[in-house]
Amino acid sequence: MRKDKMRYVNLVGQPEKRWYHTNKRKIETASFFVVLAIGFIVSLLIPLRPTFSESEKRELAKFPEFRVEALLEGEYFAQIDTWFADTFPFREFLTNANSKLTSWYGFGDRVSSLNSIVADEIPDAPTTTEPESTTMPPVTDEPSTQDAEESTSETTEITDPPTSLSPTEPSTEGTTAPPKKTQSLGGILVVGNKAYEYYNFSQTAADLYAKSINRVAKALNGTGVQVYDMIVPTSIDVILDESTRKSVQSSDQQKAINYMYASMDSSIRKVDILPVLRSHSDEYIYYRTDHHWTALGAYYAYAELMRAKGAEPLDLKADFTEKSYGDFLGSFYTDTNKNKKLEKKPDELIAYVPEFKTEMYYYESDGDKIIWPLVYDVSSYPIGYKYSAFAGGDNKYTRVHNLTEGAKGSCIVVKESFGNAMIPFIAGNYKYVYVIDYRYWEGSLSKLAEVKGATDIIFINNVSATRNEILMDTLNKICK
Amino acid sequence: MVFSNLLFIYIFLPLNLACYFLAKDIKIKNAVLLIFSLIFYTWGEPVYVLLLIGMCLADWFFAKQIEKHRGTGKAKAAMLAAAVVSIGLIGVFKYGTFVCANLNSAFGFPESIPNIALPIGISFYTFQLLSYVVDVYRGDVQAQDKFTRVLLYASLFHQCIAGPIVRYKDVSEEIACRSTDVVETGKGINRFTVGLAKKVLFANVCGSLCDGLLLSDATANDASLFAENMEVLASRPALALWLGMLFYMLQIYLDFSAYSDMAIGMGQMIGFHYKENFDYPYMSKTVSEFWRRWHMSLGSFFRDYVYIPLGGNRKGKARMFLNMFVVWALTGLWHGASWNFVLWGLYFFVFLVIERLFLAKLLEKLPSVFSRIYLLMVVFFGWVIFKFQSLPMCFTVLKGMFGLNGNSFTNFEATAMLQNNIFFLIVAVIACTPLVRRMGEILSKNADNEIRFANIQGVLQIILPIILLLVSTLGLVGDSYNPFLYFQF
Repeated sequence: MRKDKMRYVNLVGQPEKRWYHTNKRKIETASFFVVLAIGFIVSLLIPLRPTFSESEKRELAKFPEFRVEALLEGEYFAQIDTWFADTFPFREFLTNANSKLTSWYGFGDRVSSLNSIVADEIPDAPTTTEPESTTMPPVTDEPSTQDAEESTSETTEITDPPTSLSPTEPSTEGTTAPPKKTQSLGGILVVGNKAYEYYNFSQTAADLYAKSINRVAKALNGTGVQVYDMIVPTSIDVILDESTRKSVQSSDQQKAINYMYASMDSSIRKVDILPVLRSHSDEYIYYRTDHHWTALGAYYAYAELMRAKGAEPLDLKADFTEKSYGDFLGSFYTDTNKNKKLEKKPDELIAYVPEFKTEMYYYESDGDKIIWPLVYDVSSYPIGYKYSAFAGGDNKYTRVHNLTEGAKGSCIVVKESFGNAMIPFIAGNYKYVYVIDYRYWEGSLSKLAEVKGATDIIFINNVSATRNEILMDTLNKICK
Repeated sequence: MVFSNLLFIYIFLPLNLACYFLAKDIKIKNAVLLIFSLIFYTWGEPVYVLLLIGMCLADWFFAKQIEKHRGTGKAKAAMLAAAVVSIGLIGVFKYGTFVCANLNSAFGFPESIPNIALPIGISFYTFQLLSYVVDVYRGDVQAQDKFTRVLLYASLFHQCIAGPIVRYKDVSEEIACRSTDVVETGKGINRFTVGLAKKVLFANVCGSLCDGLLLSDATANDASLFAENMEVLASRPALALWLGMLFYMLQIYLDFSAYSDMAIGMGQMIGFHYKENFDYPYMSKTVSEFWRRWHMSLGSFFRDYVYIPLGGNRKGKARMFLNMFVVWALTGLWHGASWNFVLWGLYFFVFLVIERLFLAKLLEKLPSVFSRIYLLMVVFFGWVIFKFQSLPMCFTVLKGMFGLNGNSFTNFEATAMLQNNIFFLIVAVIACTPLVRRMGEILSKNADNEIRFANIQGVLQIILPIILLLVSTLGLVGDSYNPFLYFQF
């Protein structure tokens, strides 16, 4: 008893016993249950649940529809679990706090997700088979007349320049939906506040790429249509310093590009832009938080393309107005689980708005025709969507009409998202530019060239796409 | 459903506790627990819940028969029947595919290998029911008259799917009559939130780091990716392999013991006292000590129901080693229907024999640092066998650890991975030691004498469970990496 009295003695020597000493278990239990109860209520407030994640650019899981089959397989309840966790109230705040927590796990400004893909050796030269022989299209791959008719009808329908809507005002329908995420990235490397994507050469995909370009060149043989091919390197081989670049397991892009070019028919004009981009590597030509190049990077590549064509490139200062559309945190930021170093220094979306007048429209996947500016002010877009400033983002079929008097000629650009940033420049050298995103468009490129009277087909493909067999397979389907 | 799941934490558990504490009568409390347990199990296994109920029904019936005909041949027959049914069902559902695949490759029969999905938790509840029937047969405990109580015992969501393997005789009284007070509930809350944080904040992170450094289990066990997997593993630098296995070693302890913590904690909240299942096993000095501190409820199961009935160490050395061999082959096989698990069990058998023969005495004479390093190394390499179901992959990793795949010591990625997680690694290692608990004990000792410490202790006790709960919630939102490792068990 005496000892008990001694227990709570403060520095002055007076016994002291506070309410939370005797009741701490009660308070602990009560407060824990209160927190659980609050969690219970909050998690049931359905309106608090987000349905879309802006930072991850995806629709969140939906509450599953009931199916007896799914119930018996255990899928139904598992989907409810996923929905519950994926759409938890205050999701963005909580995941941000979590990534803050993760940033305390260590030090060092280099982060890398280890690659689980093994790269193929890049051969010094294409295999001994003559390029000619690989270009022979298999008989079964000849475009059927039905295909041709389809693509013709699809394209003739839209040859008339649109008049109904003003070219500078976006149409209001169907344009609010943010573009979908179109490319999944490989391993990501973060050095300081810059991120890079790894590149693993794939022989099968690279061969398929060269074969596809050869095939379309063969199909256009004698039509006078010139095929250009530009393989766009990614930032890891342009910006990353030499010593770090050598210590990471990423295939040599110049070697890979050389290999693919060497596998292509001599009639195809290859535009090797890696040396040019490297000579500008101290300029802002690639985003730090996104896998794309900037409009400036695309401009240097465009100038090289025009040189290959024997044309005069437009002048960046005289023919365009530089515009800043604010901060941009792109795919690298999202895919590194919101890396704090990237977040601290966001990219700036700079666009070059043409001085010449253009009209552009594109078709959405559901067939809606949208009239849209060639370069759109995306200042008000969510921070992750800024790259859609160029040519309306990724759409299966886009037509840009250069209204400059005396503009002539037309070309087809076959691209994935890297090509978008270059369209505003190319638009100045033709009257019509038909932009095909091969991931969504179906048809025959040679037929399209014939119908549109295009004189050039320009392939702008980033090196990362040329290691993806599925993408290359899709490209191959339209290269006929 | 699993515990580290937001739906469990914020819907299932609050509802369960509210209903439980609102119920006045033990009968209603038990009914609440049973209904919630069946919902819990059905959530993960909507069809196999019938298997669980059926197995309980059979063992409840056989136990009653044993009680009724005690001492006669009929009791023996009922015991045998219970064993055949329980072991038969686990044999079919857990090992059916494995046995058929092995028969097929050896004799070409049966021609088609059935693909039987493993019911979650079958290894845990089968063993609980077996121990119940055997204990009744031995007269250690009375048979339970009420089926619902046997069902509650086996299906109780606290321990049904990931242990500990609770003995009926340990909880039979608490099933019939139990009480709790605010101190006990508070302790249970502490234990539960510590377990939750261990799982979400440590085990899951270790797991995803391990997957990144090595291969995820899903990829590694995909036979169609074998060639690619071998190539990936062979190209990994030594540091990545060592680190990856270290994170795996941490993950498997933190994950498994976290489930036991949560089970024990939830039991304690409502007056159940389950036995401890882990006692800081990585602090052991010998393999035999390790197995007395690792998954204790499984070790004691095999000791009481296999090793000792076979004669234990009472029938001579040769027989003792044979008994140990059987126990460790079974222990391995219990962890999964694959040869690598058997090999893993027998790997420990070899060390246990060596220890019995001379090593234990030798280690005792040396400074304890040697025996600690010895134990950690044995366990570490054991996990390499455990991790890879394919032996060639296991060998590739072992070779790569010593640079024998022509791989480098480290590369940019592995170094970056280490740098980026070094603080986490240190804290995770500390989480495997009794250090934090010791600090807590010192604090409460001093709290009795000094007001400062009493203040700190009071505040910590109140806010720590809430902080752990909320921080764990962060790790679970967005449905990120959250594996359940015991599908194999």
